[in-house]
Amino acid sequence: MRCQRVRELLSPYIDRVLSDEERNKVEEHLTACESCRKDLAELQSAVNRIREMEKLEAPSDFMSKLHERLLQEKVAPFSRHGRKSHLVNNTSGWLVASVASIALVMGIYISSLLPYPVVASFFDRIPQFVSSQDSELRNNIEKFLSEKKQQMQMALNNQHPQTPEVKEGPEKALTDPKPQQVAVAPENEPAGQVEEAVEPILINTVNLELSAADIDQVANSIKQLAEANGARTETYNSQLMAGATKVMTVRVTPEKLSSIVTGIESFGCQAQPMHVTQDLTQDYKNIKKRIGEVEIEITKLQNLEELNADEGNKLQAMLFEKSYLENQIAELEANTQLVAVNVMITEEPNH
Amino acid sequence: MLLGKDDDLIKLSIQGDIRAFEELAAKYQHKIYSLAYRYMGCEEDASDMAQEALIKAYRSLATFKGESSLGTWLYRITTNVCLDELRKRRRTLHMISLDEPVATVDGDEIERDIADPSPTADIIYEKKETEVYLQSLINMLKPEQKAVVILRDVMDLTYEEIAEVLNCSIGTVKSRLSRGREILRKKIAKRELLP
Repeated sequence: MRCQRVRELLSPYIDRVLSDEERNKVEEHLTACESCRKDLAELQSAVNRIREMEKLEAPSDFMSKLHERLLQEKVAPFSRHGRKSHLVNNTSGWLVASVASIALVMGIYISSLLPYPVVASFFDRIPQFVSSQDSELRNNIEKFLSEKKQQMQMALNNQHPQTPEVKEGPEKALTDPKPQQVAVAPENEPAGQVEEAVEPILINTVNLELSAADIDQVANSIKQLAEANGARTETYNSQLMAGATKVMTVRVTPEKLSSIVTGIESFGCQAQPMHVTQDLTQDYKNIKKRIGEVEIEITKLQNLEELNADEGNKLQAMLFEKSYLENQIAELEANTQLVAVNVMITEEPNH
Repeated sequence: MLLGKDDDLIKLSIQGDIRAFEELAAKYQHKIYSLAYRYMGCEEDASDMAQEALIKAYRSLATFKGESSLGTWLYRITTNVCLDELRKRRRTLHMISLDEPVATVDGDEIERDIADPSPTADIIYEKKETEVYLQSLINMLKPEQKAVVILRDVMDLTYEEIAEVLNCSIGTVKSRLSRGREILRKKIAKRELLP
């Protein structure tokens, strides 16, 4: 065997993947050829050096960064590109579509802190509509819904006040009714059909951060302040990494905004209030569209002479979903007239 | 904690269970990061590409048929993500500086080094210098050779596994590996000759 050929085989020779015949020929050549022996030694040495390079590890924040990105991924079974759901089979496809309403509302929830209990009630009702014979399906759905619930809770835990700069001082910003920045709600692609023109659905929000030794006391004070001003509050507990947190949303009329914010700030405000305008127009449209679809289904079912068990369940579910979604719409519309003051109260670390 | 077997975790992940996917990702995070680092040559890029690869894996998990092992599948995604990015950057360089892959005197084609971590000799300890030096050699290889050298000598895959990752024949793996290692051998030999 000639040197040139041997040199081509040195690499697989090192890895012991040559056939017996080739290996023998190479070794025969090597015993007689110093130059090729030298090449082999250098090659082996180079390979060894690469092999001995230090073993690397992912940085310590790798998984938490991944977590953030995963939260933004679309809910898997509801891929916009028509991927079939792995959760339910064909015969209960309508259930998947209903559960898709959760994805709609979840998007809004995450971006604007809609009342969690309202959305949770939808989660709790869905399994009722599954026929009692189909326990596997019911289990799958319950598992899926409880996971969604957890994701929402995680999203709540990870929610930070939005980040736009407030250029003017707080006084001016409060009295200025124009939004400082528009935060776009999670991406929702329109289906390409003609949609009715709607007024933009914009919700002005003011985000405040408080720090307090006694979170519950501050929360109560805020509740009292809200009630005194005729405003509703919604409160959620959250477990951020540093410690306990309460998140409250107070919905006030624009006239009352200034005094409420000043009052809340006095309980221990940490930073400038952040103003964001949530643009929920697309979500609003999506919900309306879904209501339309549901109405069509309801009409179809109501026109049937007789309903079998599955159809009966479906009709019930559709009716429930319709009223649920109509509530969401009404609530969204009402909320555009109010300003949402989101308050995040974290525990003061002990000194 | 779910403490599941890969199969169960995969099934759950396809249904959108983020925690299940994270459990899978945690198992493979170091390997995927290492692989990305050897391709890209620096920490920030490695982290970005590794995350990119895992997100792509999450999105396309339903297409994983189990014909290869999950690790091999993940390596493939990581390789593609990294090589695509490297090619994109080469094109940008092309547009800006009319760079061509450099043909050296011996006729070996190498990449003009895009991410050249030139060590400043005074402040780098010897081991680190070796690491940086070796990585800079790897950086110089063409994508096809880079991939096989990294997969074989850094990640310790068999020829069959490499062929699966790169979707090519074992013969191709053999010849690319041979070329890649030969270039490294020559570079190292030349350097050793320097005073």
